[in-house]
Amino acid sequence: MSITKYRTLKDVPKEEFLVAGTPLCAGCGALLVIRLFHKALGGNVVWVNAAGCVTLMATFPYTPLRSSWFYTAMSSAPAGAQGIRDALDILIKKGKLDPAENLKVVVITGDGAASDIGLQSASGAIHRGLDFFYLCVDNEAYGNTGFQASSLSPIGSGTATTKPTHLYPAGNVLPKKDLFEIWRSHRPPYVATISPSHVVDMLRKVEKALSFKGPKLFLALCPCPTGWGIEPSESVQLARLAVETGIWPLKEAVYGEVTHTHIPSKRRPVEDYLKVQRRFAHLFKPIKNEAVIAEIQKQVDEYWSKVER
Amino acid sequence: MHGRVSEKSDKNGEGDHMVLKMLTGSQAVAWAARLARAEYIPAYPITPQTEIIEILSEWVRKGEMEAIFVQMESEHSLLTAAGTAAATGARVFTATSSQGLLYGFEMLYSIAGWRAPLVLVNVARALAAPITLEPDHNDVLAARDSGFLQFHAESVQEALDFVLLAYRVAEDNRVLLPAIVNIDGFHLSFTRERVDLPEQSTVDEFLPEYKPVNPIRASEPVAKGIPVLIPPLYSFFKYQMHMASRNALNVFREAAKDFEKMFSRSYATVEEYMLDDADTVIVMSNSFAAVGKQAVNAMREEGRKVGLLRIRLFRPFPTDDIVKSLRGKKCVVVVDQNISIGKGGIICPEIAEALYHLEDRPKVILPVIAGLGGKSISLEEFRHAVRVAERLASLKAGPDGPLLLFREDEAMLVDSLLKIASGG
Amino acid sequence: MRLSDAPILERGHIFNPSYVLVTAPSLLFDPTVKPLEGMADGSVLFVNSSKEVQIVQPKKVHTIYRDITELALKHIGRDILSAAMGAVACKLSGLISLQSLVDSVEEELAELGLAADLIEKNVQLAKECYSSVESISLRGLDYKPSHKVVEVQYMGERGIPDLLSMGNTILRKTGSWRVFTPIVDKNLCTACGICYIYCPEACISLDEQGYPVINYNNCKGCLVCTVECPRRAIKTERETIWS
Repeated sequence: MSITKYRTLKDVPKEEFLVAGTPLCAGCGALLVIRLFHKALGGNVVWVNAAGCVTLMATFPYTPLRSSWFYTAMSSAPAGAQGIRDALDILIKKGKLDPAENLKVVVITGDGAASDIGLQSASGAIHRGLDFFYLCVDNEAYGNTGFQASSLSPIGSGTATTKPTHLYPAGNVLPKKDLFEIWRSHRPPYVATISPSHVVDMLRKVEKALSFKGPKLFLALCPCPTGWGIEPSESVQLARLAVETGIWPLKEAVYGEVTHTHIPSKRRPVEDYLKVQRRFAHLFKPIKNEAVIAEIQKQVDEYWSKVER
Repeated sequence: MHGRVSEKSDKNGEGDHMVLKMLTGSQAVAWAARLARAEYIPAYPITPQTEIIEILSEWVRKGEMEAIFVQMESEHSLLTAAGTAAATGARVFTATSSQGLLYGFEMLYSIAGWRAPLVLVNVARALAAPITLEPDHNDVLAARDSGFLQFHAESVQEALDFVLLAYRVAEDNRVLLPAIVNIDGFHLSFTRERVDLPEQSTVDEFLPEYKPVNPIRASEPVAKGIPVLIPPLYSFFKYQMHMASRNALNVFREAAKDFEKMFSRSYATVEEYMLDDADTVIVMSNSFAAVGKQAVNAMREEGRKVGLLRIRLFRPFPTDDIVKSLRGKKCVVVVDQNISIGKGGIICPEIAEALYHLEDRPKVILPVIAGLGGKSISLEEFRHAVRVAERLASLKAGPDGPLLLFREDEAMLVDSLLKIASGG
Repeated sequence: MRLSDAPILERGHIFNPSYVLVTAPSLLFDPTVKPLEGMADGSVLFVNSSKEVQIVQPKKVHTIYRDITELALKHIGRDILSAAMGAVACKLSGLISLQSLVDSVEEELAELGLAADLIEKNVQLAKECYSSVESISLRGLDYKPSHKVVEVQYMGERGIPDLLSMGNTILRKTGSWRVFTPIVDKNLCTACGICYIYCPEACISLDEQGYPVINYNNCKGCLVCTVECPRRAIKTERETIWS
């Protein structure tokens, strides 16, 4: 890491851009990520949103944000960011707008919008080198509509559309898309994974991203108490478990060059993460599905064997 | 009219300072965007809109327009970017067509709901399936209920003028709604006509700078486009849009008055063609109205009292002007160049509703379907439609459904092609 | 649910309710919810609360309260209130027998795929809730005439759905969501600030000495702070502030 102003948790900026009273669920991991991410971003931000849970943060006549917010549509928040960025640029260039009025343009979507319906729009914006942030709050399903599977739902998870049955004992049988790699393949200046449990790591990454012009893309694993079947109080713990089991690698890629920012010295077994969540309960009861658990462990081990080599 | 036809005009209609030019519809609307000083142009190519965005991208790349041209990945994205840019305070121009308009359809309602004024040229092209290239108006009329104002052009000159008028009306703070200017693919987009190209200084005078409402600024945060989950509040905001659109009728009339003073061309919401003493009136919109007028001329020569009413401003719907033009007439023949499958034409019921409560309403309102997918409409077809309407009037009867205008030679062509397709 | 011997011609929102059940006292005065609107004299209001509820308008509403959350915690161990509130509604109205209630709790929760033991817990909860209240017959309901139709004016720029009052969700008292309340034990707290960092809601601020101060108006009681506190210095108590 280069020189950073974030060394310990004491360095977390005190200014709040998000106030209380949102209608989001208690213990929402996404809300915590947004709050901390915004602290590192600082002020003068416009959030550009696609349909998802966080859309409900701002519903007429209330908003929890002290920053601007623009809800666009489910599939085209990055295009919405393009319009805002370009409009600000041309107005400033033509002298119609004081540069002090400029804003950081930040797309915020869930995993469904990011990996499914809005992937085309994101790809277009990244390809064009749009100067923007993208924060994907990944709770691994379509949470706002009742937790149906998205293409970022992990294998073995039960969702409203991948319920475990005797024909499908594993629940979701499709692999989680590697959105980090999809984004990275465009060679943007900055891509990173973050976790609400690893706050200093998150703040440093935002800090670093602020030094680049162009697409700066963040994928945050966001525990979802209602969808994952955990207590709201366990939200941050689950995020931490995901990192410690190696399921959620913390990494960044600068112009495509990948660095792992946190390599767990001894990875905990994935079972520790899986068994505490209702969405994986069918892997343990009534009989333990050793094969699926072993497959998940194998994928994690294979991933890290390449990292550590 | 002032000036003379330019001696030379290259592909893009560029050249010297001559004010009269031979321009295609595509060139004309590109010129209108340039003269309006559009500063943001998100685009995505589709036939037959491409020439417009090719010209604009070239002008921007040459530095002749101080604007950002950005090629998006889809019409859905281009409309999203267009809307957010307009809400941020840029004057936005874009163009699409047909499938593209439908691909971005969701965003039409959103942009209008954001109350973000911009101008979108739709180069009309009939809709798939079957996929085709030539025009009818199912594409633009699909956007009928979105909140976009709609201007329908008959000529290349109108295409240019309507873009300027559309900005003026859309950006007026009594309106604040986006606008579509419809030009028929091929028949206007790729056809050169004589165009009086306005002077930049006059356009600047006609079109004041766009003053956005609650634009996104660092010093004044705002939340836009957010959910309104309370039914009375939703109802309120939607009806505000309707009232804003109705305001656009008078705002258009004001703007047209100024336009006439500055450019010596006068536009009412509708055009009356040989209507004064007409018994039967053909109602049309867009470029095929020209052939309708030709048919009127021919029937006039035959001694029939036929006229034509052309709708220029389709949204807001100019009910009062339509009533003024059509009350007391014997027959109205509404030639819809579109089809609402399972019902008939889209415009005819709107005309009928406008006239229903009049004591002197026309005896017959004949719904006619013609010109789908760019099919030509011949004099004989117009004559037939007028005859059918007048016969119904004399029988004191009503139509039992829409009348499709289709000729014997076309039926034979269809038959021969079906034979090839089936191998029989 | 719509059920009657005669055709029901009401659809959508219930504007003149005979019985209103409110899951949390704070909702009574929420401007976006307005549960009391349309209640007539003689109608019945039930509030899930541990304390008596005072209603000023309308005057002659029969108001009762019970701490249904406490019962839910006792039976299920969580504040899931659907079976409980349903049971109260069945009993208050006097229209639905205990057996019908039990049958439908079993049927509907089985449809949702709940385990048998959890269904049984819900049944026990429903039974206790059913017996915790008495049926109340409606007395001469006197509904106010409905509002007259007005003309909506064009409001210009104010008629645009833009929101200019930023950070105003603070007005929404989400503190009423709480079942358990986090309470900082100042003897154990080291002012490390970790609870402040991990509060998803920005409901914890730090005082001049760096000790946490919890905003109980808005704290939803997610209790992330209690789990993240390295000294276990944040205790929990059954919520009483709001009710």
